[in-house]
Amino acid sequence: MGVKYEIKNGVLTAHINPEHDLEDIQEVAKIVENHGEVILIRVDMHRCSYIQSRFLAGLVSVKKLAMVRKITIELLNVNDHITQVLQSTNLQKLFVLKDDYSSYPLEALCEKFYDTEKAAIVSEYLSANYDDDIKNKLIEIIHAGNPLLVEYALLTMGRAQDYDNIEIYRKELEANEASVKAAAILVLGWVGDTQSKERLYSYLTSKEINVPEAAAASIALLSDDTDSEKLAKYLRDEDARIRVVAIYALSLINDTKAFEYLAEAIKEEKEEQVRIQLAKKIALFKDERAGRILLELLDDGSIPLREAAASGLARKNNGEFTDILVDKVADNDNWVGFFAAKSLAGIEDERVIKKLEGFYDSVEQNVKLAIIEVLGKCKGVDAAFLLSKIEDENEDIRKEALNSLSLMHAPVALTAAMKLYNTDNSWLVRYKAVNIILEQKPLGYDTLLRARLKDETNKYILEHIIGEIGE
Amino acid sequence: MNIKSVNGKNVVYLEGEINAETGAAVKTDINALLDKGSAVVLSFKSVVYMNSSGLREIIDLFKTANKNKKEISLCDMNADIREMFSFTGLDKVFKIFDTEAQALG
Repeated sequence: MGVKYEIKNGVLTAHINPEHDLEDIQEVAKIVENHGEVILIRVDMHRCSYIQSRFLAGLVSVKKLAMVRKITIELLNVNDHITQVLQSTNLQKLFVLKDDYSSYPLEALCEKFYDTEKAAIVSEYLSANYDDDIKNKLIEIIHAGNPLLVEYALLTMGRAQDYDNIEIYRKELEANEASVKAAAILVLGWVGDTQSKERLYSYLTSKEINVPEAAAASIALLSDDTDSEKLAKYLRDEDARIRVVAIYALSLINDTKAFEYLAEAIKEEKEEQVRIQLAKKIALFKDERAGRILLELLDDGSIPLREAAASGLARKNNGEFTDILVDKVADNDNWVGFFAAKSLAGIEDERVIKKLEGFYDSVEQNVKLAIIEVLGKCKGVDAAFLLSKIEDENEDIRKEALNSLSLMHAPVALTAAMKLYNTDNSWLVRYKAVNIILEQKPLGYDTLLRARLKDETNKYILEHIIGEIGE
Repeated sequence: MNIKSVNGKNVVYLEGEINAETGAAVKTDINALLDKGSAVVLSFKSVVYMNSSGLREIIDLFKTANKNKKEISLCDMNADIREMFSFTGLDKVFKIFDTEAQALG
């Protein structure tokens, strides 16, 4: 019996039968010889659990033919064992290895839900090809009750936006396993089942993994004008995890009420991690009061909170607080200066850039670093200022100056990198310089870097160069 | 909302805020585009704010596209917007790409 194959639009797909794999691959070579229209060869190996060395020889023969005609060969559905054989014989790079789930029967595909690496991709494939057969199979899986399979069956039906089986999803809210429960909650949110929303509130305080998070997400997706108020009471829950979950839900709803509850909560909240989440989420509101709250948080005692506030202000970047922030760069508390500088990322105002440069000499090291970093994100910054910093005593400053130059003045950065890659005494700076050279690839860069291999002592730089240009 | 056609796919550049109102308008425009073509890429590069009502409109769009065997992919999200999709599990529903080039394949 010959190899099973089809040719469609120049694509030859051959399905290898493990019982006569050698004959099959030899026949593939003949088919390619006889069909000049073939422009892509796909060898489906989903039934093969191992291969003989003679099969490999056959595969190489097909590859030789393909190279003459400039045809790509894709090996489909190669299992881990065969992949290892290809790797050990150095043949893997000759072929493109791909998964093609259309080769598998439905039963075998659903079995892949057990494989944590493949489950999500298979679920995506099944939802994209969703039909009655797939639907019925998934319902059968759900009724059989294996939790791992049920979780992915539910997620697949939700992905496919199957609205006809809402009762099934609702029933799975009662499942014993948290993963199944969380999947059912998410799917009810995706398909817009507003009738289940009140019920989802009872899962907000669950101690199970991912269940409160899923409930908060779906409540937000199903929300109406009344939900911000209902969620606000969870901002006072004794469990910090529940408070964070409520913060997420309110930030998703993102209405005026939600903002006011979060603004109130940040005044009362004591736990640093929760306050950080509040700052991050307040930054997601368009409300003009949000910027003012973040600005005040720049003076907070907690460094991570100040960082979150600065990041939120940089995100808003509407210019409203620019002057205040610029003045804060020179604050007596150098961490306030540090985060104020960071929040100015992206500013294009020449006056602000000059002011930042002017502060540089009088501020602490961490603020200096923040200024250099921010100047690498500001259009209109003068290369001369950054260039003067690559002579600094501090290696972090030199590295950051090189980085900012590469972002704003690539040719100047390259000239600097060509000097520093073999003269700077800090490996961090040399690494950055090598990186810039490899990114920009000037004429003869490979010869230059290869010569450096003789004198370079840092293993990270050596690995980086060798990884890019070889030994 | 700007639209660019690349290799038979329409890239739609969403802007500013995606809420119930703007999301509904986006939905109408994109459904019209999908009537004529088979695939749309939504770029979130210039989206600054988005809420759950906006997300619902995007889900609705996906639902209609799915029913009509049309393809919608999303790209260029900032970390905050991306987090909204992952928190709601919608990153499992949509095809989300880091860049427009990846979305265009």
